Amino acid sequence: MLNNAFFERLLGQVSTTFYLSNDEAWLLSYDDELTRADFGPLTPISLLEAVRRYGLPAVEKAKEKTAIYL
Amino acid sequence: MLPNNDPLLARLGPAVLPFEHSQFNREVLPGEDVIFLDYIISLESGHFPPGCLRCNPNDAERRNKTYLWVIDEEGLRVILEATPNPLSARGCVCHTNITGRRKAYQGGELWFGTDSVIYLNNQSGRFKAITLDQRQAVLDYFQQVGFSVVQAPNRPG
Repeated sequence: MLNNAFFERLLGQVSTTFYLSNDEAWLLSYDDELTRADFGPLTPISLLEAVRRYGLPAVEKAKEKTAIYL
Repeated sequence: MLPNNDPLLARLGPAVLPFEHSQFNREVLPGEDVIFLDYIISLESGHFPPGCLRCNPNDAERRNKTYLWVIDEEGLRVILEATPNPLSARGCVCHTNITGRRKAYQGGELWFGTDSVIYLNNQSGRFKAITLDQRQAVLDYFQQVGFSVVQAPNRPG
């Protein structure tokens, strides 16, 4: 059945990591020297948790543009 | 276009496949690898392209005047991001509509300023800079081609 539990299981199997800025104002798809210089320390967050909190369009935008303001 | 042995290319690179910097945690989707030859503009002349959309980079209206830029083995090229791409779910072009699935050194967004300055950032999910030296090398490349450039924040407006 295509329900929330199905999609959560699906997303939970993906190892992709996203990142939150310290003030949780930015969702980012990279953790590297330049991103830390621009945004400061980052906290990892799983794809599933990112989708739960912010929705799929926001996560896709963060992937496409490297960062999204939440 | 720089010769292969130019040290600036080494500072920009290595050239990477789309999303390689993020361990390929996203795929190039259908339509995103179609090369939009008729819409791609080379900036290797060092001059603003005739008819390009200019803006004040501090104005909100700059969003629909955003160009995507890429530096790859064919040099520095741009495409207007608002160019429709009916073949992709996104609906408009992305960096791989310039490169196909080939490698590139760097990518990001830029605006042609009304003050004849190029304002650029490194916001490309596919080809972004990952080090401070790469970011500086991008600015150096644009300047070597002949442009006045300003680094814009890597924060979507």
